[in-house]
Amino acid sequence: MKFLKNNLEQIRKEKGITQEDLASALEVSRQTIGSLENGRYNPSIVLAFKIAKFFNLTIEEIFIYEEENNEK
Amino acid sequence: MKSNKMNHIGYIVSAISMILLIFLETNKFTELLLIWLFTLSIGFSLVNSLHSRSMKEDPDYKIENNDERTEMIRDKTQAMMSMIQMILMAIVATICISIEAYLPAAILGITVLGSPIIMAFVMKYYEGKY
Repeated sequence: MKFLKNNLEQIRKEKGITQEDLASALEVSRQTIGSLENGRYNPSIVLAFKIAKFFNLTIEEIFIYEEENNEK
Repeated sequence: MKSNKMNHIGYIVSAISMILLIFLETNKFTELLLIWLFTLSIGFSLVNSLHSRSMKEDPDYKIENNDERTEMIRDKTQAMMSMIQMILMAIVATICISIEAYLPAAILGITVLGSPIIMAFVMKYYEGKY
């Protein structure tokens, strides 16, 4: 099983930015930010780059790709 | 720009079809065709004009419309809706057969059975694009 985790909520709170402000800066809806933070939605590569650029971080510092082997 | 041109064409087509409807003595079929053309062209142009204006003037509308999560939801909804529509059309075709309305049943049946072929052509078009 493969999934993408992220530290978006933590980074956003550390910077003292609201979901609305981040959504406005990235030109996406507030619901998209909420879904990203909850892990319900994986961003496109363009949005991932936009987020990384906004926080002046690398994509890997925000998003963590994990592979989980469920072999029995 | 291209969208504006399309809107203008739509308005012209609707005006012409309206004039023809008023002044031309036509048979029932042509009349129905002109009504259909008028409704379609005016509807398309009005909705498109409203959308273009909202995209320019309303930043919230623009964000909501271009939002990638909304686009994904819209794609999934459309895929689900087309499947539901196919099932409904098949049900209606069955009802048509049961009441011996063979022509609408045949049209619906052909549409339902032909949709995978049309889908294959559309897929081929997009495969060439990406």
